Amino acid sequence: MNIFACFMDGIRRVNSAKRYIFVVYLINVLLALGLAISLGGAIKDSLGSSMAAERLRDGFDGFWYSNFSAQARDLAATFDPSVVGIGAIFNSLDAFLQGNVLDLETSIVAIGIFYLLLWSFFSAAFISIYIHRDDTSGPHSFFQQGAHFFWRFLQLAIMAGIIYYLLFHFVMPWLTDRVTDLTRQMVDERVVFSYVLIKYLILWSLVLGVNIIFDYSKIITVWQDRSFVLTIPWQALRFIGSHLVSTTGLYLCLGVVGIVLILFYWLIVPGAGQASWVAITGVFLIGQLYILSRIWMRCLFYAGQTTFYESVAGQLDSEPDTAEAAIKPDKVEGEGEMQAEQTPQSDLSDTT
Amino acid sequence: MRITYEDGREVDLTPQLTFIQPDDGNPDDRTVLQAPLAEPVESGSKVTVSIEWEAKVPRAFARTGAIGDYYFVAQWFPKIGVFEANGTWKCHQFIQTEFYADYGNYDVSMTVPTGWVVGATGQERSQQDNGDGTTTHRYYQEDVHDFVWTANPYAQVYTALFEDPSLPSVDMRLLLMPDHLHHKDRYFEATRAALKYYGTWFGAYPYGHITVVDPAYQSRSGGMEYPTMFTGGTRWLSPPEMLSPEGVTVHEAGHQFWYGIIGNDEFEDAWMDEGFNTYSTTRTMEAAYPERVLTKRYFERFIPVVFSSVKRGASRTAGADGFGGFYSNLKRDAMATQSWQQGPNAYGLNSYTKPGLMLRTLENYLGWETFQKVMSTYFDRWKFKHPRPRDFFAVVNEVSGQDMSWYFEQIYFSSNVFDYGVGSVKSKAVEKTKGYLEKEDGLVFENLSKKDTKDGDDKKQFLSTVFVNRWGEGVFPVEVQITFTDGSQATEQWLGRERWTRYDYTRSSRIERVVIDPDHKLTLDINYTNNSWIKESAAPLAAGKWAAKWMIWVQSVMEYLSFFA
Repeated sequence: MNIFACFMDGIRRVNSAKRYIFVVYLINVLLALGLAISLGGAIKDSLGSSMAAERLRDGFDGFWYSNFSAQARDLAATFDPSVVGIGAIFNSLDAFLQGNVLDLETSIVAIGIFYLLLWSFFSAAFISIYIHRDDTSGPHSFFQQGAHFFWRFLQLAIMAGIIYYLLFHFVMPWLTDRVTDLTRQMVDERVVFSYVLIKYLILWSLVLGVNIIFDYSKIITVWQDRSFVLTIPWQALRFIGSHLVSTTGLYLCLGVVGIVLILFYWLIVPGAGQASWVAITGVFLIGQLYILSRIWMRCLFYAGQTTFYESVAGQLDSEPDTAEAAIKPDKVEGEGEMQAEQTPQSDLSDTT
Repeated sequence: MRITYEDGREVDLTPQLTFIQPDDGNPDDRTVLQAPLAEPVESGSKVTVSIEWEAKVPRAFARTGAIGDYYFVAQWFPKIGVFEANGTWKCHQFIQTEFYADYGNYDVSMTVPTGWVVGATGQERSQQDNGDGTTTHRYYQEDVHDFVWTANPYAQVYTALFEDPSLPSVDMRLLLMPDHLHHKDRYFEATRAALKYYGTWFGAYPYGHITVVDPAYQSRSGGMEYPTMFTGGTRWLSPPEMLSPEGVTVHEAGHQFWYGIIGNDEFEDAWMDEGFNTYSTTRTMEAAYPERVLTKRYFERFIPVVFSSVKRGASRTAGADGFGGFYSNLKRDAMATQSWQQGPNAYGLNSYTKPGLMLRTLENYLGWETFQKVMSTYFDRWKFKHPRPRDFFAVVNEVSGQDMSWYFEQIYFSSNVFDYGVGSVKSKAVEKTKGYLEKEDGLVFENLSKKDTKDGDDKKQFLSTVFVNRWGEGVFPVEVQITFTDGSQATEQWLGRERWTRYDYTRSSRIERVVIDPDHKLTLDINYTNNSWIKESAAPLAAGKWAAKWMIWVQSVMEYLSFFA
């Protein structure tokens, strides 16, 4: 199956189980809402009955913000007017790209990690239903599958986390030092910038490489219902290595869609000018649609990759050793000839 | 080091040279060299001092040094200390301050590889190709107190002329790095703005030429002033809304006036150039670049993003709100503390922001017309001299015709802070007469409140009370403006000496809003937010709006974190 077919099939699979995306979104909202209420309270208290509130409502008030930020602690200290519009996304993306997400305020990181753990649960559930290709099994099965694979996914997440830690805490500083050494005598910002770009290209090639390995590790874990997961990343790596063009091509294709999504949001998101509850709610809903689409994108990554894995592994499942089959190389030029339709039950019966 | 007397005698002072540490006694400090003379130099007589020295150009740091083939050579020669009128030498160690030197004439020749661009204090008098791959550039300048130079093979040189009907023209020379060529016009426009506004407000730029150096990336030489030359600074990607290079260019060009022409002692009174210039820069930026919006740099600060819907926060001299008030560095040292002695973080605050606010508040208090006269008189009287703070205070008193000691006592000599705030505001319906009234036929029971009710609310009277407080130690006269729901206003003048005061009104409408210092004259107020009160607070809406935007950031962070799941 070619990349486009996997992509399109992934969309079909994701859309066949939309309601679970809303469940994840709802959790995301509820977790963030608690913090937002707390921050809103701090802002409200700080404004009191002053006329600064009017200015802040109509746009922004520099005097109030100077005073507020000079005295803000903990959660309130994270407030910055650059959260307006695309800034909310860029601020988080910037921290993400530089591996600084865990350096944010404690309560945000704590909730983020909790959400990350929930994703270990939900990614198992999503991959399970995507392997089943439709949502016929119902919520009970969805959550049951999540619970069934949770511990194994958690182990995979820990393994991945260790590698990410090594990448951001050892490889990245090492790369930064190399760039610093190489650009030490350079006086042209454009040249230095290109070196920095190369640094991030290398770092993020590794990070995304790890991510793709663990994405397929999850798929293999569910596909084969393997209880011992420690060797699965190796199996996933061999699978990716055997189908390098297709797996990375699909991953990059999905990534491009994610970037287009950000650009589209940038295009449509309004600035700071809302002065009524209706306008505020409208802008908030646009933001929520973006968050929802991010979750949808995340699921699309799983679904698209599941489709591809299924198209390769399922095709070869008829051979005696499923594990071996999963890593047999495809012929890139012949990918389109592979059969996409599989019956998961028969695949699962071959495992362990 | 040799000294030559008028009679031709020459004495080698080198054996007597010793490093001294007048400020902290740190034996490792070698920034002040003492050369005792064998005999005193009589008043009115003349000696010639010759100094030979070698200096190794360091890797660029603290605004001097080299990176690649970019050389920026500042503070590079032994600078003679200032012999003060009281007969003492002013030679502080180089600790945390800038510099102080006497005015003089500089005639400097620099030999650099042929083809390199050279910029320096003054104007180039000659260029000599030495035939060995080097060229000697000779620069000359009179009446300056420092000399700086730069040389590199990268820069492009552009020239332009500053012209203004009321000011002498100035030749502008810009040394621009290749990655900033697209910022050429912005550099020139900002320099023009500084020469125009400073020249018009304070006094004309006298030298007729100025060199603007766009510093090389990573050179750490940006944003610094030297006589007739300064370094700006910008980034490859810098949209106009970022006002870079504009902000730094106006500031450093402005130092030609406050530092270059008015040569105060930066060791002890750094605020007299940095504070004056902070005030003047802000005023110039407001006039030349009134639109200020929020901008931010991402991706290791390489990528700029403009948030045009968010008007940028308070400028440096617009208010003292950002300094943490009572628990801040505002309380650490008085401005009068000598700059080199100021405690942690107090130097910057007391050299730049607080004096900027002090001058802005003084302008608001005296009015621009009077204050402009103060500044131009001070500039004219003290140009090419070394004024002290008391000299400026004297000009303020003289030109304004007021004794402003009460003001400087609080702001310069103490670390008091100012904070006026609305206390409580109450409006309640007036209780109407109810009881026995003495009439012709004796005591008669009357219930006027019933009559009011019958006539409707428009006859109702409200007793309104406003309490305003002085939370800070600082005292400053303020205006209190009260607006009623029917649109009428009452304006009160409060000298602000008491800790609180109250105003009572009996009117047909309630109070809708109260503002202390509505024109924000007292920019030294550490919390302008508490200066106002409004009946129908917009706080829930404002807080909800910004918390909603912030929430999307948190949600996005959560999504990015879950990538690692």
